[in-house]
Amino acid sequence: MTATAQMLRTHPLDIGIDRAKLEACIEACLECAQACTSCADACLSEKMVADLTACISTNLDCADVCEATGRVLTRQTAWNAEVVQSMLEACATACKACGDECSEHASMHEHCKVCAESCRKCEQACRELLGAL
Amino acid sequence: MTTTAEMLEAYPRSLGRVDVPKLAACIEACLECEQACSACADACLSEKMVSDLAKCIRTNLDCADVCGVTARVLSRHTGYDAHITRAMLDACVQACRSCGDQCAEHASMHEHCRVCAESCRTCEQACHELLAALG
Repeated sequence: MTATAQMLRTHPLDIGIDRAKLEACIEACLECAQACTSCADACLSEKMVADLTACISTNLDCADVCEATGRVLTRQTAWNAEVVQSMLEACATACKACGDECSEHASMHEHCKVCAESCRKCEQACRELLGAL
Repeated sequence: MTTTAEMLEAYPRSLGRVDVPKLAACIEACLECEQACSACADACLSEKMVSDLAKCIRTNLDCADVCGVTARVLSRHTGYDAHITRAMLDACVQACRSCGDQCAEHASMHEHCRVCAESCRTCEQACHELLAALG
């Protein structure tokens, strides 16, 4: 069992949300934040960095949004549906933008291919959790 | 001139048609609110009645996180994507409203909640104004 799953299961509150989807979404957000941080860094070390500035900027936005979404979703006390929903929507939007941007360079840069996949997975997890709320 | 305004002015490419003073005001309001919410969560943890402040602490932590991200997203102009900016401003409005409402409930009892609620209102307003200016 992942640490995310164990922490949710040992929390004194049960807020009645689909736990499997919540766990999957938190993990997807954290994995995507790491992939985007790494992709921005990898882009900075590519010889053609000048052609990758939009990718770097979108990576940084997506990393930040995913990380914050992972933290907001981790907090069970006084769950606020409006804040959670708006962050999930922002996260899906950032992942869509970053996934699209990285896909454009996926054939040239393996890190962009991996990052695009991570973004798609996170976008999907956010949408599934939004549907389950 | 603030550092935020100086950095915006020093950006090497065009910032587009964005209202720069509103953008700078919003970035600064987000950063100030992030700090106020972090401090309010910590102050709540040290209150004797901490068990009554669990909701406030959680809301503070969310608002601090959301404001921090919003300020960083607003600080990036390269490869600008209006969809991300708008979605984060919407999320920031929600987080600031929830936190402002929550802190306002204890404002008469805890000065840190009063100050934090004001900071949340200022940030919520700045986000609304920037959203309106983005069209």
